[in-house]
Formats: sequence, structure tokens, C-alpha cells
Amino acid sequence: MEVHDKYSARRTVGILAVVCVVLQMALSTQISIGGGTVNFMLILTGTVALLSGSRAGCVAGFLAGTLYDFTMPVPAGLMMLILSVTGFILGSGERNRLAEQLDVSLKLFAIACCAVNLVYAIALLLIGTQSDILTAIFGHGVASILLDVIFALPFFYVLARADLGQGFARRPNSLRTANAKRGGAKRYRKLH
Amino acid sequence: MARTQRYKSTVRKQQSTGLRPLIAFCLISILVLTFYLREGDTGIIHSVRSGVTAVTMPLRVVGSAVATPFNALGNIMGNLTASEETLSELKAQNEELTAQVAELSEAQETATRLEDLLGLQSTYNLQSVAARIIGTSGDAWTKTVTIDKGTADGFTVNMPVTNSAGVIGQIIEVSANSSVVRLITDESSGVSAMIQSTRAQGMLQGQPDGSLLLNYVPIDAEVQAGDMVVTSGIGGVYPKGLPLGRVSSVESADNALYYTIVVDAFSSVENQEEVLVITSLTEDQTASADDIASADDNPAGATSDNASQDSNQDASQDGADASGDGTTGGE
Repeated sequence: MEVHDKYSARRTVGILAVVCVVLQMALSTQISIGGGTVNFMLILTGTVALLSGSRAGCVAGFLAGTLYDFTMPVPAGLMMLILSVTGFILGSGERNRLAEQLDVSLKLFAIACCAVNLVYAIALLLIGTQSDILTAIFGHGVASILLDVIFALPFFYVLARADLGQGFARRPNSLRTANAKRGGAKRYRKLH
Repeated sequence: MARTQRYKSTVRKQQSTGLRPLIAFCLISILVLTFYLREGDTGIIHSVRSGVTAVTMPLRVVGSAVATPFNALGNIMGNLTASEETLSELKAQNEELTAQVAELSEAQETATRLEDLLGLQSTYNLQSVAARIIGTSGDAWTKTVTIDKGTADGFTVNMPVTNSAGVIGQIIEVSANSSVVRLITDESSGVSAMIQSTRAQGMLQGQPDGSLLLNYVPIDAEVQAGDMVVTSGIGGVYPKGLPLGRVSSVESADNALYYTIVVDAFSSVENQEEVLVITSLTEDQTASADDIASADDNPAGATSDNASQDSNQDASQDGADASGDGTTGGE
């Protein structure tokens, strides 16, 4: 059963990665509202980190950041660094948090979006790509944060539901024990 | 004993938080960033990016095709919500332009006949290749667009790009089948420009809020709102005389040496799909020696030239001519 869950988890992450990469390549450059753009690579990193933990989040962040940096006209290496750290920090809490605490996951992701966009704007300022911190943060950053969170909602919702239905990854031992006990009690009632 | 060791290694594996990969990734990222910032346009990182861009090009084209109807929808909404004042202004402009078109058509006919008679070449012949905008900037902080042609069509870095209204920017990155164009409204952009009526020269620079400022125009020059701003041709990147925008306000502070001139750009990429990439300039389209001398004679020209040289170090290092156009900072 655990083996099945593991493969199911990998398949889900694979599908998620493909969807996010396609959206990043095809639509991210087309959608610009209020000076902000959607970063599907940040959504991918956040989702993987909240589903699979810090190690997977860190790896996903690095790979997603690499793709972002090498497909957009931006300073290469910057988003790699930021997303690697973001994936690690987001995933460092409870494993599979997305399925069990959707509201907490969303709040954490929103905070991560704020941090990523803020750090990115400041880094661009230090590199010299930007010259006005207020425009960088409030002109572009706020709109980008909102777009990132809005576009992440369907991903989070679908993955949380899919996970609850199939058992995405390893559940905490306490949950499995509780389920086993519940099953045992049912069997006991049937027999008697 | 062996089982205990296996158990311990399994536990250690389960407890791994990914700290080691994180450190490794951070180091790699910092290295990549350092290489990127230090290398020129032909470095390894730029070459890899060019390859990746070429590979992902089909997806961008599909995205552009998908998004086009929605862009049109946005335009319709914008038109529906236009105010009465805007509509009346547009009607007046339409009448004025219709009259101008008739006048210009007549002039064009006359010019054609004269050209035929005198055997003159066209006075304004842009050697250009048409391309299509397939995407805008991937991040919110830079103003660039991606077009669907690259080195395969003879494009190189620094080539100017125009649309029907005027200059939109210049190519800053190029791959086999796509190019990235930095718009003149990007704050890293700088174009040598002049007031068409008085020939006062300056440097047109993008601002963080997307507006344009014409800097280094001396206070003794004659500039007023409504004046047309065109490229000066100094620097050899943009052809001389291409329209850039119209002066919307002119201010001069006490004891200031230069005006603060805000310019409304003629061109906008929001409703444009087709652009022209100017692949080479004729002699007529570059600044004459007199223009360069006059720019050097006044303080504005000197400052502008210095600023441009500072801002376009990459081009200078590559052996290009000292350019008045290009980046004013940044990467």
C-alpha cells in the first residue's frame, strides 16, 4: 500500500511539474495584470514543498528556479537561489501539510510569495536592474504576490482533494493507527 | 548487528531534511549568478539560455496564440469604457488624420514622380525584417517583449525595433528563433534623441513607472509641450529621425542646467503584434559629422555622450563604435 502511495505521489508531482512548466512557458509571459506577472515556478515549488517536505521542496525549488532563470530575460541564478531556500523552508514543517491543513498551507504559501517577491525586488535593486525600490515592491511586487496566490488556489484545492481521496503520501503514524483502530472496531462490531 | 546498522541508516535517511542539497544548490546558484553578472553577452550562461529559449519556443508560440483572443477582449472592454471626452477627441483626431492622409497621398504621388524623374533613392528606406511579438516580459520588473525571429533571420544584439508608430526598443538577447527586445520605456533603456523642430539633443530614458524622460537638454534650448521627439542617430544604433514621442511637459528648476522633459511615447506594444527589426542602416540614416559636432559642442551633447559610453560598456568592450543608444545601467 505504501509502495502504491509512493508511486502515486511521484506521478502526481510529475503531472504537477509538467502543468506548471507548460503554463510558465506558454502563459506566464502573456498574463500581466496591474504590473505583476504569475510565477508558476513558485507555485510548483510551494506545492511540492507542502506535499513532500523540505528535501523535495528544495530540489523542486532549484530545478524550477533554473528553468525560470534560463527561460526569462532575468539575472540567471537569482530565482534558483530564492526558490531553493523557499522550498526548503516551506517544506520544513509537517510533511503532507497540504492535504491535512489546507488553510495553513495557503497562509504559509502567501507569506512565502511575499518573501520571494520582496527578496527578488531587493536583489534586482542591488544588482542594478531596478533603481526604484518603491516601484519594484509596490508597483510590481504586490500585484505579483496577489496573482501568485490566486493562481495557486486551484492547484492547492485539487491536490488537497486528490490527496484526501487516494492517500497521497505517507500519513503520520498516528493517523494510520487511528484508521486501523477504526477498522478494527468495525470488524469487531460485524462479528458480534 | 547488521540489522541495527541498516535500521540506523534508514532512520537517518528518513530524518534527512535536505540541508545538504540546500547548501549545494545555494552554492551553485551563487556561482551561476556570479558568472552571469561577470560574463559578456557571449558567455556560457547566455549561450545556455539561448539554447533553452530556442527549445521552449514552440510553447511560447502556442501561449501567444491562446492569449491573443483575450487581449482582443481587453481592447474591446477598454473601448467600451472609453469616456465621451476620449471619443470626441478621437473623432477630431480622425478628421485631422484623414485630411493629412489625403495631403500626404498627394505628396507621395508627387514625390514618386520626382523620384522617377530624378532617379533618386527613397529618402527614408529602412532595411528591415518583420517579426511578431509573442510574449512580454517574464517578470514584472523589466519591460521587454519576445519576438518570433532570431539569429536564423540575421538578427543580432542591439538591432533597433520599431512598429508603425515609431521606435519600441532594441534587441538585447537573441537565440536561433527568438529575440528579446528591451522597450524604450524600460528604466535600463537609453536612446539618443532630439527635439525635431529645434534639433536640441538629449538622452531619452525610461523610468520605473513606465514614462519617458528626455534628459540633458540644456536650459537655453527651445522646447515646449507638443514638440515631437525623434531619434538623433548619434551612436549608430537607431536610424536618424524615427519618431519616439511627443513632449507632454517641460519644467526647469531654479539654477538647473537642464530641463526636466516628460515625453509621451508614440509606440505601445500592448495593441501591436507586428514589428520591424532594422537590420542595417544606410549612410543617410546615421548622424552626420555636423550633428555629432553640434552634440559635442554643447554641454548636453558632451554629457549625453559620456553617459552613453558609461552605460554601454559592453558594446564598447566588444569593439563597437561609441554608442549613444543602449542601456543606461543594469545588467
